[in-house]
Amino acid sequence: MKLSTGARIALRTVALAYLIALVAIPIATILYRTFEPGFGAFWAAIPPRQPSRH
Amino acid sequence: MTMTATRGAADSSAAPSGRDSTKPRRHRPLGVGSAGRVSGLTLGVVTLWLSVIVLLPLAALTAASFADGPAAFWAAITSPAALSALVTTVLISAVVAVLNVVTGTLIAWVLVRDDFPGKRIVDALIDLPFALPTIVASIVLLSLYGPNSPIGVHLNATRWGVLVALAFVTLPFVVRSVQPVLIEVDRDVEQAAASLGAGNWTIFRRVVLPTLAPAIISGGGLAFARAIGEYGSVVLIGGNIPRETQVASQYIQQQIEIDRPVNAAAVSVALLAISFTTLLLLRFFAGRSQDREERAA
Repeated sequence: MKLSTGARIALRTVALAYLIALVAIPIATILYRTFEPGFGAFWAAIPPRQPSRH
Repeated sequence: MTMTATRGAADSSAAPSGRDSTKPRRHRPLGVGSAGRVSGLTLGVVTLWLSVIVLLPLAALTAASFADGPAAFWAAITSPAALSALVTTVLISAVVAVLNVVTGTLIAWVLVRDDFPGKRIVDALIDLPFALPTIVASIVLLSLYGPNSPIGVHLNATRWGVLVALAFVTLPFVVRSVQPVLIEVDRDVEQAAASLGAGNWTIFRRVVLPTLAPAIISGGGLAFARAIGEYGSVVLIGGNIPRETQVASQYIQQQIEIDRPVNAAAVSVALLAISFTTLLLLRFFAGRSQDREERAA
């Protein structure tokens, strides 16, 4: 089965567009929002480890 | 298939009859009995493990759902809120399964038959929904489609939001089922069909699709089964609005919180029955499709 270049690119575009819209953009958005205030703010948001009582 | 191979190995290493010590000794794979069957011990261990992990909890759940009698069970699953949650769950999951069948097959096709820069990254991206905890998937989708959506699309607390969340978490099922089958497809048959004058669509429909059908059906079935039991990915974006966006798993949690364990167990058993029946039917159709393929080969 040999697809024409146009058909091949069209299928590739649809598949990649679906993946980008469903997976890549949402993950890029959350990463952007996480690091938007800077890495320091991200680090400060992670609670420090409680010291062990043993 | 493993059993066949194991049995074959056992048979091929079998010594001729008699007690001659010079003859090669019979080596049996662990757990395979003299007749090439699984030994009682192996069978016992497997049955025990399966019972402890799967059957006992399911039996306990079923017993709990019928604790107040069959009438109470029926009343629990036919109450308007439960029925609405079940219908919403099954409908959205069915749409998600069909969406996965189409897009999953397409993505698998592009990953196997096409070549482009960054293909490996795209291939790795497919597994990301499996790697992410489902609650993270919900936060991820909420950040894009929630009240503060940067693109102005607000899907939170709508059925579309639930659909997108379920499509996100079930993405790999069909892709990862179809991909290895597509790699193994004999392309000579396609070339033969093309040399006989068949067009691309005919080749896909009559040659490629029948080969892929069992994998597509199995992947779609798994996506459906996962979607109807999904909780984490829909908990934030779904909104949990009764009779609108509340899915069965959220209804079950609600029933537990208001101390109605029998209702929760009844809806769980209903979900289990739907999922089991669907997988059984799809397995039957996939098996029939595979038999037809083997007969034609």
